Amino acid sequence: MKKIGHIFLYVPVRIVYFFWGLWNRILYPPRIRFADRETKRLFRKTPAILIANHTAHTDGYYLPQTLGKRRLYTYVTRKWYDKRSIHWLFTRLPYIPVDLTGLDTEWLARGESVLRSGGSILIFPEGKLNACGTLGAFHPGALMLARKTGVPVIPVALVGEYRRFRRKTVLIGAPLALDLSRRGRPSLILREETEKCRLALASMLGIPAPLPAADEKAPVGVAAKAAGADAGAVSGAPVPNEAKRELITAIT
Amino acid sequence: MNEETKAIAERIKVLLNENLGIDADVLTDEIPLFGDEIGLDSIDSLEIIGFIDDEWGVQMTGVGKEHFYNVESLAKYVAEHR
Repeated sequence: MKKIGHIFLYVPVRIVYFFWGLWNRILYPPRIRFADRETKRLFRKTPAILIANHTAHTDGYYLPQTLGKRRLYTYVTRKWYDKRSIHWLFTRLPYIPVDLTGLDTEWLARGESVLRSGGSILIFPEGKLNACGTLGAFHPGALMLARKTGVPVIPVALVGEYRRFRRKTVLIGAPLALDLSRRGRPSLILREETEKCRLALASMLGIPAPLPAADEKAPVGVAAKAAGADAGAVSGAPVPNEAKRELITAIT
Repeated sequence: MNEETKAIAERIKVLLNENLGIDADVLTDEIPLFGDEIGLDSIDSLEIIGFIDDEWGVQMTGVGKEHFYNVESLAKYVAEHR
């Protein structure tokens, strides 16, 4: 009975979602700018992991509906995915739940399955809203998927606020030059490379990227490396001065 | 630990060394993996889940954190569930 109920609602939910997407494109038409032609070609044609800043609840449906990327799945935290009022929607739409607190790898397996079948994944690596004009710490788990699959990581910067009938700018940067498979402890490597992603996105947005909180593990020496070309071929905004500060490792 | 569990523990130590770069000299069956000496974190635990699944076909996703305490607890879990 449960399966019949799931299928019964699947088609109407998808139809409503489609028209909702059209509606969003009318109300909040995005101005999408690519770093270069090659980025545009890659974005349109190949599976990718998109990492974006998260400034409003609407990002979670606005971006997938307006980016024009086929088979784009979005990671959403369990806290939201399991909410009774909207859980039935999430299970019928392209969203994958992520448990940020437990030792659960199902999100990784599902994401890998999507990528290997030609789809793409959208991740908000901050894991929560951040509307204060800076970029918070990124969860390094965001790059575990990239490490497993070798799929390019593309930064997507949402600039400004949502205003009806005004074009919101979405900057799509070139795939980030990350070295995820080098020898060493994976968690340290992922934290270093995640910090590069964070600084690259901050650079695109032209905003400060203050140090993560002292109790969060952060890699040493990333800022110096990330300040240069290693942060990725991101066009436009200059690298903020904060990118040149040293980060303190909190390895226990 | 019985012989089977000991063998699993030895193999886990090799995998921890190969995948997470943990020095084999400091790795004993009892030493806490997430304590001050070894210093693994949640990302490393996801790696552990991955190589245990690959090696023995034992799924540890969603399992309680107590089973990741040290090599001995990991080996016991694998021995019980494979």
